Amino acid sequence: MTHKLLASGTLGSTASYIDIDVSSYSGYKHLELHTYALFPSTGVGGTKIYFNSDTASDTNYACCYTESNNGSIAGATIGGLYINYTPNHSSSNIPSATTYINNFNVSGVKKPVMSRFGASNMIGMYTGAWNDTSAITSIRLSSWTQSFAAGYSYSLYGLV
Amino acid sequence: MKLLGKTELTSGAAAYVELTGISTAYKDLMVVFTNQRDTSSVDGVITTLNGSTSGFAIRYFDGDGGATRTGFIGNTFTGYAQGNNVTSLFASTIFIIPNYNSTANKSITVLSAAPTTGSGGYLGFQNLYAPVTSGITSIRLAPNGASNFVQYSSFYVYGLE
Repeated sequence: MTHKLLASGTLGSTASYIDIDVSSYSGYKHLELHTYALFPSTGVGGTKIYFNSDTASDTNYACCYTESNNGSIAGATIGGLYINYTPNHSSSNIPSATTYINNFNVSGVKKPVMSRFGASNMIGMYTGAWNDTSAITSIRLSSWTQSFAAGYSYSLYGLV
Repeated sequence: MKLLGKTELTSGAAAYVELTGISTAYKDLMVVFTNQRDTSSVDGVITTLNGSTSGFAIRYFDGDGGATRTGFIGNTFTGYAQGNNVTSLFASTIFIIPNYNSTANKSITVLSAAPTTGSGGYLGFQNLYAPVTSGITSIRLAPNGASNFVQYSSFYVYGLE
Protein backbone atom coordinates (compact mmCIF):
# COMPACT_ATOMS: atom_id res chain seq x y z
CA MET A 1 0.00 0.00 0.00
CA THR A 2 1.56 3.28 -1.04
CA HIS A 3 -1.51 5.50 -0.67
CA LYS A 4 -2.77 5.44 2.89
CA LEU A 5 -5.25 7.37 4.98
CA LEU A 6 -3.15 8.98 7.70
CA ALA A 7 -5.68 11.16 9.47
CA SER A 8 -9.23 12.38 9.16
CA GLY A 9 -11.74 14.33 11.17
CA THR A 10 -15.09 16.06 11.20
CA LEU A 11 -15.92 19.08 13.29
CA GLY A 12 -18.61 18.57 15.92
CA SER A 13 -19.03 22.29 16.46
CA THR A 14 -17.95 25.61 15.02
CA ALA A 15 -14.21 26.27 15.00
CA SER A 16 -11.86 28.83 13.53
CA TYR A 17 -9.15 26.31 12.67
CA ILE A 18 -8.19 22.64 12.57
CA ASP A 19 -4.71 21.41 13.46
CA ILE A 20 -3.29 18.19 12.02
CA ASP A 21 -0.09 16.70 13.43
CA VAL A 22 1.96 15.11 10.64
CA SER A 23 5.21 14.69 12.57
CA SER A 24 4.97 10.91 12.62
CA TYR A 25 4.51 10.45 8.87
CA SER A 26 8.13 10.65 7.78
CA GLY A 27 7.74 7.41 5.84
CA TYR A 28 5.71 9.22 3.22
CA LYS A 29 6.84 11.54 0.47
CA HIS A 30 3.72 13.47 -0.53
CA LEU A 31 0.50 14.45 1.17
CA GLU A 32 -2.93 14.56 -0.43
CA LEU A 33 -5.56 16.44 1.56
CA HIS A 34 -9.28 16.28 0.88
CA THR A 35 -11.49 18.96 2.41
CA TYR A 36 -15.26 19.34 2.57
CA ALA A 37 -15.84 22.90 3.69
CA LEU A 38 -18.97 23.82 5.61
CA PHE A 39 -19.55 27.31 7.00
CA PRO A 40 -22.19 28.59 9.45
CA SER A 41 -23.65 31.26 7.17
CA THR A 42 -24.24 32.06 3.56
CA GLY A 43 -21.68 34.23 1.82
CA VAL A 44 -17.96 34.04 1.35
CA GLY A 45 -16.12 31.14 2.93
CA GLY A 46 -12.69 29.69 2.44
CA THR A 47 -9.79 27.78 3.90
CA LYS A 48 -6.19 28.91 4.26
CA ILE A 49 -3.34 26.55 5.09
CA TYR A 50 -0.39 27.12 7.43
CA PHE A 51 2.52 24.94 8.46
CA ASN A 52 4.38 24.19 11.68
CA SER A 53 4.38 27.12 14.09
CA ASP A 54 4.22 29.70 11.31
CA THR A 55 0.54 30.46 11.83
CA ALA A 56 0.48 34.04 13.06
CA SER A 57 0.54 35.83 9.72
CA ASP A 58 0.60 35.36 5.96
CA THR A 59 4.07 36.87 5.62
CA ASN A 60 5.82 33.66 4.64
CA TYR A 61 3.14 32.41 2.27
CA ALA A 62 2.42 33.17 -1.38
CA CYS A 63 -0.54 32.23 -3.53
CA CYS A 64 -2.19 32.78 -6.87
CA TYR A 65 -5.30 31.34 -8.46
CA THR A 66 -7.23 30.71 -11.63
CA GLU A 67 -10.99 30.33 -11.29
CA SER A 68 -14.21 30.34 -13.25
CA ASN A 69 -17.53 31.54 -11.87
CA ASN A 70 -20.68 31.31 -14.01
CA GLY A 71 -18.85 31.93 -17.24
CA SER A 72 -16.33 34.51 -16.11
CA ILE A 73 -12.68 33.56 -15.74
CA ALA A 74 -10.24 35.31 -13.46
CA GLY A 75 -6.82 34.99 -11.89
CA ALA A 76 -4.74 36.97 -9.43
CA THR A 77 -2.04 36.89 -6.80
CA ILE A 78 -3.36 37.05 -3.25
CA GLY A 79 -1.95 37.16 0.26
CA GLY A 80 -2.05 33.97 2.28
CA LEU A 81 -2.14 30.42 0.96
CA TYR A 82 -5.63 29.21 0.13
CA ILE A 83 -6.88 25.73 -0.71
CA ASN A 84 -10.65 26.18 -1.15
CA TYR A 85 -13.15 28.99 -1.52
CA THR A 86 -16.68 29.92 -2.41
CA PRO A 87 -18.12 33.40 -2.86
CA ASN A 88 -21.55 32.27 -1.72
CA HIS A 89 -21.71 29.31 0.59
CA SER A 90 -25.01 27.50 1.06
CA SER A 91 -26.26 23.97 1.62
CA SER A 92 -26.24 23.46 -2.15
CA ASN A 93 -22.97 25.27 -2.74
CA ILE A 94 -20.32 23.53 -0.66
CA PRO A 95 -16.64 23.84 -1.55
CA SER A 96 -14.48 20.79 -1.68
CA ALA A 97 -10.85 20.50 -2.65
CA THR A 98 -8.02 18.10 -3.29
CA THR A 99 -4.71 19.56 -2.22
CA TYR A 100 -1.22 18.20 -2.85
CA ILE A 101 1.85 18.99 -0.76
CA ASN A 102 4.84 17.35 -2.37
CA ASN A 103 8.12 16.62 -0.59
CA PHE A 104 6.46 17.70 2.63
CA ASN A 105 9.11 16.26 4.93
CA VAL A 106 12.16 17.06 2.79
CA SER A 107 14.39 19.64 4.43
CA GLY A 108 16.23 22.06 2.20
CA VAL A 109 13.44 22.86 -0.23
CA LYS A 110 10.50 25.21 0.13
CA LYS A 111 7.09 23.62 0.19
CA PRO A 112 4.78 23.89 -2.84
CA VAL A 113 1.04 23.55 -2.47
CA MET A 114 -1.29 22.77 -5.38
CA SER A 115 -5.04 22.66 -4.89
CA ARG A 116 -7.98 22.13 -7.18
CA PHE A 117 -11.27 23.21 -5.70
CA GLY A 118 -14.86 23.59 -6.69
CA ALA A 119 -18.41 24.26 -5.56
CA SER A 120 -21.68 24.65 -7.41
CA ASN A 121 -20.87 28.19 -8.40
CA MET A 122 -17.12 28.12 -8.91
CA ILE A 123 -14.21 25.94 -9.89
CA GLY A 124 -10.55 26.76 -9.84
CA MET A 125 -7.02 26.09 -8.79
CA TYR A 126 -4.73 27.58 -6.21
CA THR A 127 -1.01 27.24 -6.08
CA GLY A 128 1.45 28.74 -3.71
CA ALA A 129 4.24 28.05 -1.32
CA TRP A 130 5.43 28.20 2.22
CA ASN A 131 8.65 30.17 2.05
CA ASP A 132 10.51 27.91 4.43
CA THR A 133 12.76 24.91 3.93
CA SER A 134 11.85 23.07 7.12
CA ALA A 135 10.14 19.71 7.04
CA ILE A 136 6.41 20.07 7.66
CA THR A 137 5.40 18.61 11.01
CA SER A 138 1.97 20.17 11.42
CA ILE A 139 -0.78 21.61 9.25
CA ARG A 140 -3.34 24.20 10.25
CA LEU A 141 -6.52 24.63 8.23
CA SER A 142 -7.68 28.13 9.05
CA SER A 143 -11.07 29.62 8.28
CA TRP A 144 -11.29 32.75 6.21
CA THR A 145 -14.05 35.37 6.47
CA GLN A 146 -16.21 33.14 8.61
CA SER A 147 -15.63 30.15 10.89
CA PHE A 148 -15.86 26.50 9.95
CA ALA A 149 -19.19 24.89 10.77
CA ALA A 150 -19.94 21.55 12.39
CA GLY A 151 -19.56 18.94 9.67
CA TYR A 152 -16.44 20.47 8.08
CA SER A 153 -14.32 17.44 7.36
CA TYR A 154 -10.89 16.52 6.09
CA SER A 155 -8.98 13.41 5.08
CA LEU A 156 -5.21 13.29 4.79
CA TYR A 157 -3.49 10.64 2.68
CA GLY A 158 0.17 9.82 2.42
CA LEU A 159 1.98 8.67 -0.70
CA VAL A 160 5.26 6.82 -0.40
CA MET B 1 -2.10 1.71 -5.67
CA LYS B 2 1.55 0.73 -5.68
CA LEU B 3 4.82 2.52 -6.24
CA LEU B 4 6.30 1.02 -9.42
CA GLY B 5 9.39 3.15 -9.78
CA LYS B 6 11.07 6.36 -8.74
CA THR B 7 14.02 8.61 -9.44
CA GLU B 8 15.22 11.17 -6.92
CA LEU B 9 18.04 13.48 -7.91
CA THR B 10 20.06 13.53 -4.71
CA SER B 11 22.99 15.29 -6.32
CA GLY B 12 23.94 16.80 -9.64
CA ALA B 13 21.67 17.43 -12.58
CA ALA B 14 19.96 15.36 -15.25
CA ALA B 15 18.88 16.23 -18.76
CA TYR B 16 16.06 13.75 -18.40
CA VAL B 17 14.61 11.08 -16.17
CA GLU B 18 13.27 7.80 -17.46
CA LEU B 19 10.83 5.60 -15.58
CA THR B 20 11.18 2.15 -17.14
CA GLY B 21 10.11 -1.43 -16.68
CA ILE B 22 6.55 -0.43 -15.89
CA SER B 23 4.50 -3.46 -14.97
CA THR B 24 1.41 -4.34 -16.99
CA ALA B 25 -0.41 -5.56 -13.87
CA TYR B 26 -2.42 -2.41 -13.26
CA LYS B 27 -5.31 -0.58 -14.89
CA ASP B 28 -4.05 3.00 -14.78
CA LEU B 29 -0.79 4.81 -14.10
CA MET B 30 -0.26 7.89 -11.96
CA VAL B 31 2.92 9.93 -12.20
CA VAL B 32 3.84 12.43 -9.50
CA PHE B 33 6.85 14.66 -9.86
CA THR B 34 8.41 17.81 -8.48
CA ASN B 35 11.07 19.59 -10.42
CA GLN B 36 13.21 22.60 -11.04
CA ARG B 37 15.47 23.20 -14.03
CA ASP B 38 18.79 25.00 -14.25
CA THR B 39 17.41 27.92 -16.28
CA SER B 40 15.76 30.99 -14.86
CA SER B 41 12.25 30.76 -16.27
CA VAL B 42 9.28 28.43 -16.26
CA ASP B 43 8.85 26.13 -19.25
CA GLY B 44 7.24 22.77 -19.95
CA VAL B 45 8.25 19.19 -19.24
CA ILE B 46 8.65 17.15 -22.41
CA THR B 47 7.04 13.74 -22.13
CA THR B 48 8.14 10.76 -24.19
CA LEU B 49 6.18 7.52 -24.03
CA ASN B 50 7.77 4.26 -25.21
CA GLY B 51 10.37 6.36 -27.00
CA SER B 52 7.84 8.35 -29.01
CA THR B 53 6.60 11.94 -29.11
CA SER B 54 5.12 11.67 -32.60
CA GLY B 55 1.74 13.31 -33.02
CA PHE B 56 1.44 14.41 -29.40
CA ALA B 57 -0.69 17.49 -28.69
CA ILE B 58 -2.09 19.22 -25.62
CA ARG B 59 -5.28 21.04 -24.77
CA TYR B 60 -4.58 23.38 -21.89
CA PHE B 61 -6.35 25.74 -19.53
CA ASP B 62 -4.00 27.65 -17.32
CA GLY B 63 -3.16 30.90 -15.63
CA ASP B 64 -0.21 32.91 -14.40
CA GLY B 65 -1.75 34.61 -11.39
CA GLY B 66 -3.33 37.17 -13.70
CA ALA B 67 -4.17 36.22 -17.26
CA THR B 68 -5.93 32.94 -18.00
CA ARG B 69 -5.37 31.09 -21.26
CA THR B 70 -6.69 28.12 -23.11
CA GLY B 71 -5.60 26.52 -26.35
CA PHE B 72 -4.51 23.46 -28.29
CA ILE B 73 -0.93 23.09 -29.40
CA GLY B 74 1.22 20.38 -30.86
CA ASN B 75 3.71 19.66 -28.13
CA THR B 76 4.39 16.96 -25.59
CA PHE B 77 4.26 18.81 -22.28
CA THR B 78 2.94 17.37 -19.05
CA GLY B 79 3.14 20.24 -16.63
CA TYR B 80 5.66 22.92 -15.80
CA ALA B 81 9.41 22.92 -15.40
CA GLN B 82 10.13 25.36 -12.59
CA GLY B 83 12.79 28.01 -13.23
CA ASN B 84 15.75 28.33 -10.88
CA ASN B 85 15.02 32.02 -10.39
CA VAL B 86 12.64 30.81 -7.67
CA THR B 87 15.12 29.61 -5.09
CA SER B 88 14.55 26.13 -3.64
CA LEU B 89 10.95 25.93 -4.78
CA PHE B 90 9.81 23.21 -7.16
CA ALA B 91 6.87 22.75 -9.49
CA SER B 92 4.33 20.01 -8.69
CA THR B 93 2.67 17.81 -11.29
CA ILE B 94 0.35 14.84 -11.20
CA PHE B 95 -0.76 13.07 -14.33
CA ILE B 96 -2.79 9.96 -14.91
CA ILE B 97 -2.62 7.63 -17.89
CA PRO B 98 -5.89 5.71 -17.84
CA ASN B 99 -6.02 2.37 -19.63
CA TYR B 100 -2.24 2.47 -20.15
CA ASN B 101 -2.02 -1.14 -21.36
CA SER B 102 -4.39 -0.46 -24.22
CA THR B 103 -3.38 -0.61 -27.87
CA ALA B 104 -5.48 2.48 -28.54
CA ASN B 105 -4.26 6.10 -28.47
CA LYS B 106 -3.68 7.54 -25.00
CA SER B 107 -5.44 10.46 -23.31
CA ILE B 108 -3.59 11.79 -20.28
CA THR B 109 -4.98 14.15 -17.64
CA VAL B 110 -2.53 16.57 -16.07
CA LEU B 111 -2.66 18.90 -13.08
CA SER B 112 0.39 21.10 -12.59
CA ALA B 113 1.57 24.19 -10.75
CA ALA B 114 4.77 26.22 -10.59
CA PRO B 115 4.36 28.52 -7.60
CA THR B 116 6.53 31.41 -6.53
CA THR B 117 7.31 32.91 -3.16
CA GLY B 118 6.12 36.30 -4.39
CA SER B 119 3.74 37.50 -7.04
CA GLY B 120 2.36 35.23 -9.75
CA GLY B 121 2.99 31.60 -10.51
CA TYR B 122 1.70 29.15 -13.09
CA LEU B 123 -1.09 26.65 -12.65
CA GLY B 124 -3.42 24.73 -14.86
CA PHE B 125 -5.02 21.64 -16.30
CA GLN B 126 -3.93 19.91 -19.45
CA ASN B 127 -4.91 16.94 -21.51
CA LEU B 128 -2.16 15.28 -23.49
CA TYR B 129 -3.18 13.35 -26.57
CA ALA B 130 -0.57 10.71 -27.28
CA PRO B 131 -1.09 8.44 -30.31
CA VAL B 132 0.93 5.58 -28.85
CA THR B 133 -0.76 2.32 -29.77
CA SER B 134 1.08 0.03 -27.41
CA GLY B 135 1.00 -0.45 -23.69
CA ILE B 136 3.09 2.12 -21.85
CA THR B 137 6.29 0.59 -20.49
CA SER B 138 8.52 3.66 -20.25
CA ILE B 139 8.05 7.35 -19.52
CA ARG B 140 10.81 9.87 -20.15
CA LEU B 141 10.51 13.35 -18.66
CA ALA B 142 12.81 16.22 -19.64
CA PRO B 143 12.76 19.97 -19.09
CA ASN B 144 12.23 21.91 -22.29
CA GLY B 145 14.86 24.24 -23.70
CA ALA B 146 18.16 22.40 -23.43
CA SER B 147 18.12 22.53 -19.67
CA ASN B 148 18.55 20.04 -16.83
CA PHE B 149 16.56 18.95 -13.80
CA VAL B 150 18.39 20.00 -10.64
CA GLN B 151 19.00 18.35 -7.28
CA TYR B 152 15.88 17.47 -5.24
CA SER B 153 13.78 16.94 -8.35
CA SER B 154 11.91 13.68 -7.84
CA PHE B 155 9.75 11.46 -10.01
CA TYR B 156 7.39 8.63 -9.05
CA VAL B 157 5.15 6.30 -11.02
CA TYR B 158 2.33 4.41 -9.36
CA GLY B 159 0.12 1.61 -10.58
CA LEU B 160 -3.59 1.99 -9.86
CA GLU B 161 -5.99 -0.92 -9.66
